[in-house]
Amino acid sequence: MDVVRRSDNRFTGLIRLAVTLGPALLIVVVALALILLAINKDPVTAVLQFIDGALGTDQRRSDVLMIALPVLLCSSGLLLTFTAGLWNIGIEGQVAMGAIFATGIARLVTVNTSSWLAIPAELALAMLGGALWALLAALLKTRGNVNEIFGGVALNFIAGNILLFLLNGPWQAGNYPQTAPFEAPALLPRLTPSLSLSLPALAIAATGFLAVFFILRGTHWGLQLRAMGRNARSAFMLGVRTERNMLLSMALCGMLAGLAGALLVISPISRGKLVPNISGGLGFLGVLVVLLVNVLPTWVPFVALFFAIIPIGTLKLQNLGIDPSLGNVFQSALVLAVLLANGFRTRLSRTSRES
Amino acid sequence: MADDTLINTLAGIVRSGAPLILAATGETFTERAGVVNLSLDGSLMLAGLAGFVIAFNTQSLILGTAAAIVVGATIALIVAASSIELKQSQVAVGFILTLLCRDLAIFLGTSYRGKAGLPAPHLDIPLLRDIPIAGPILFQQDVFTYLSFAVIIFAWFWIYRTRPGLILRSVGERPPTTFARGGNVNRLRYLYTALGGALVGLAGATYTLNIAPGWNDSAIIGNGWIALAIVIFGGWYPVRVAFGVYLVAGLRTLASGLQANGIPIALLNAIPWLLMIVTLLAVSGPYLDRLLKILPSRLHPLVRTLLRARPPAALGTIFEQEGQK
Repeated sequence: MDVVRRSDNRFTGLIRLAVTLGPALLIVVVALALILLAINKDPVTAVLQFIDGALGTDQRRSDVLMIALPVLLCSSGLLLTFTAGLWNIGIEGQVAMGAIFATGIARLVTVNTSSWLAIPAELALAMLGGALWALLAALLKTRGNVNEIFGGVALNFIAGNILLFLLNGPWQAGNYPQTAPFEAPALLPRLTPSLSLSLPALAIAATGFLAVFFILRGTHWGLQLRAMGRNARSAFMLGVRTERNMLLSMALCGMLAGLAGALLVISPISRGKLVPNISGGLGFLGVLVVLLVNVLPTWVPFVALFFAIIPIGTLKLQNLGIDPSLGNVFQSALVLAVLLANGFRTRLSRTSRES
Repeated sequence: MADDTLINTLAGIVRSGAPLILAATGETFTERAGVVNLSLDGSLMLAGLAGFVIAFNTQSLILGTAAAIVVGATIALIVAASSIELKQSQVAVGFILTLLCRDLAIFLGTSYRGKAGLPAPHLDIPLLRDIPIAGPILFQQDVFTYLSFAVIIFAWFWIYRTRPGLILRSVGERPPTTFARGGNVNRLRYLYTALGGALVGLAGATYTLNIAPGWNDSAIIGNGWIALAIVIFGGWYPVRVAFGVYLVAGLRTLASGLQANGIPIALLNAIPWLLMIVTLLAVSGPYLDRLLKILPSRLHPLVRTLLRARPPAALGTIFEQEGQK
C-alpha cells in the first residue's frame, strides 16, 4: 500500500515543508481563533497565555523537552514502519505495553535496590513488551492477512483493557485505579532538583532517533525498507525478504514505543506510577508527526518538540475556561491542513506545467 | 414470563444494533465505490454531537438528525475530495480525520456533558406489531431502528437488483471499465462517499438521540472501528454486514449479562476486540482455504458465501480520468 508520497531529496523536502507549513499553520490558527470567538473567548489572550504557559519559565521549557522525548521515540519507530509501507496504528497499545512491562519491574524496586540494576531492567522489559505487542500485529498481518490498521486498533483497545484490569485488580494500591508510587531508585534521575530535565531520558530518546536515522540513511536494510514501501511486490521479486523485514521493522518500532511507555512511568515528568490511559494518545501523536514531515527523518525532532509545546501550553488555557483538548484539535487539524496544502501545491504545479 | 425476557432482550439487541447497521451499511456503499472512509470513529462522534446540540437548542429531533447527516456527509466529502482532487492517501486523510473529529467533538461537547436529551418516541407499526414474537422484536421500536431495517433492504436491493447498483460495483472493481462505458467514475465516487457519510451521520444521531439520549463521548468511541471491521467481516455484502452487526450486538448483551457474575469488566470489555481479530482472521486469513479442503465440496458454495471476504479490487486507489487530470 502506498502510504504517502515521499521526496527523496532532502533539500526540496525542506522547501516543500516550508511552502506548505506556512499557509497550513495560518489557516488552522485562523480557524481555531474563529472557534474561540464563537464560544466567547478572546483568541489573542488565549495565544499569549498559551505561549507563556508553554515557554514562560525554565520549568515549563524543561517540561516541554521532556514531553517531546516519548513523542520522538514513537515517531522514530514509526519512521521505520511507514518507510516499509506499514500503518502501525497499534503503537498506542505498544506504548501501553511498554509502560506495563516497565511497571512490572518498577513496583518490585525497594529503597535499597541499585538504580544501576533497576532502570536498565525496566527499560529492557519495556522494549520487550512493546516489541511483543507489535509482533502480534505484524504476525496477524503476515500470517493471518489481517490489515495492520484493524489488528492494531483492536490490540490498542485490548492493551487498554489489560491495563485497566491490572489497575483495578492485582496491581491496585488504595482506592483509585493506580499502582503505588515507585521508590526513588526505580525513577530516572533529575539533573537539578527544581527542573524535570533528565539526562538519561534525553540520551535514551536521542539514541533511539539516531539509530533509526542511521538505519534509514546509511544501511542496506534501510534501503530494502524503502523499496518495500514503494512497491512490496517488486521488492519481493528482487529478493527482499519482505515478511522478515515487516516483522523486524514492527518489532523495532514496538521496542521504541515500549521505551516511550517506560518514560511515561519513570521519567521525572511522569507521575512515577502506572495510571489508566497511560499513553493518552501519544502514539497517535507520533503518527501525526511522521505524516506531517512526509516520512522525512531530519525534521522529526523539531516537529516532536513543536507538538510537545501544545499539551504544556494548553494546560494554562484552563484558567480562561478553555478545555485543554483544544490542543489535540490543533495538532490533527494542522497535519490535515499540511497534507491538503501539499495536494494543492502539486495540483497547481501540474496545471501550470500543462498550460 | 421467561419468553418475555427473551423477547425484550432480542428487541434490545435489534435497537442497539441500529447505529452500527447504519454506519456499516454506509461504509459498504462507500467502499463498494472504491473509497475508504476511515474516519468513522471520529465522524460518528462529531455527527452525534452536532445532532444532539441542534436537537437540544431547537427542541426538534428532525433538525438535529438533519444536522448530523450533513456533518457526516461533509466529513466523507473531505476524504473523497482529498483523494480525487488532491491525490492524497485516503487512509492518511481518513485516519487524521478520525483523530480531528473525535478531539473536536470532545472539545466542543464539554459544555453539553450531562444535559438531558430528548429521546426519540416509540412508534409501533399497526398490524405488524401484533405478529407473535416478531412483532414485539421488530415492529414495536423507534424511527431510527426502522430506518436501520430500511437501509439494509435498500442497500441489498440497490446494489444487486438495479442498474445503478451494477455500475456502483464496477466503479469499485474496475473503474476503467465504468469509464469506458460512459460512467463518470469520480462523480459516482463523490456521490456514494457522501451517501455513506450521511448514513454514518445518521448513525451518530442514533447514539445521541436514541440509544443513550444526551452527550457522552465514551458511549460512542470505538464503535466506528467496529463498524469498519464489520464491513470486512460482512465481505462487503449488506445482508452479511447486518448479520455481523446483530452478532456483535448480541455478544455485547451477553457480555453485560456476564458482568453480574463477577468477571472483571475490563476483561469483558476486551472481548469485542478479541472477537474482531478472530473474525478478521477467519474471513481474510488462510484458514478459510484450509477449512474448504476438509469440508465436502457440496458445502463449499455455502461456506464461501458465509465467510469469503474479498475487498473491491479498486478499493483505496485513485482513478486518473483521461482528459481530466
